Amino acid sequence: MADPVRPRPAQKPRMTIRSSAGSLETAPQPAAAAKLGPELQAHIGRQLRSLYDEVLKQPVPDRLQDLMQRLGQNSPDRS
Amino acid sequence: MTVADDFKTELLAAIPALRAFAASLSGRSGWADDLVQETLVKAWANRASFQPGSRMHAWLFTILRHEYYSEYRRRRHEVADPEGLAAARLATSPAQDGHVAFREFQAALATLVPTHREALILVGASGFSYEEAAAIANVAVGTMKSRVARARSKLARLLAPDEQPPMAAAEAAAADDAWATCEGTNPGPDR
Repeated sequence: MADPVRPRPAQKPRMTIRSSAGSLETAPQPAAAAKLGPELQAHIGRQLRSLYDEVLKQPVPDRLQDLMQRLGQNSPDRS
Repeated sequence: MTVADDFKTELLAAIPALRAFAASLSGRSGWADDLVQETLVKAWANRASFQPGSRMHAWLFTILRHEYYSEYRRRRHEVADPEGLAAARLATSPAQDGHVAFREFQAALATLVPTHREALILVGASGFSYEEAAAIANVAVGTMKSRVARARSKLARLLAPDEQPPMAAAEAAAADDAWATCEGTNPGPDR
């Protein structure tokens, strides 16, 4: 049976992330910081930088360190 | 110290930014490091075409986004990450606003059209100007500004649906146009 209180998404997402998109639909209460226009925009900016900076400050993984070690080892142009 | 060593040092220094861009763009940790690896290999192979003194980050981001869109077209029919977003695993410690808000944000970001998500990341997180971001994405500055605005607007609707007007039909159509543009994403200047 259809749930009458379940809000319809404004637009069907083309790239579906099932559980997360579902949680957005079923749990529409916004985050505490996300309220009105400018505040909401600031919230979006903070979250975006937070996501980005978390990865930015991680150490370079071993596989990429190893790759960098290998680059140029067979290269003839180390002049 | 050789020219190749200088190049390599710069490449190494750019890896954290490349990973951050790849992770927020792709939303999947494993994929993100694959993208970075491909980018490093291609950058190294094409190092002769890099102009010393120009901004290496922008050049590398151009290569990475090209890899992303190529791979995205191959992968788009795959089932999405069932746990939501691997970016959540990459970014293990929650934001100051709280873990739930952070997860909500990541989920919302993942629903954006890729070109809009990219625009928002380049300008809002990577620190590029609109002009630089437009050059990286190989579009007009006005297009870049429009993508950032649409990305912000859609995120606002998703994160606070009661505070925002419903999506206008014209805007929905524009989002579809943007999607079509993404489908035909032209190769970056590295090709």
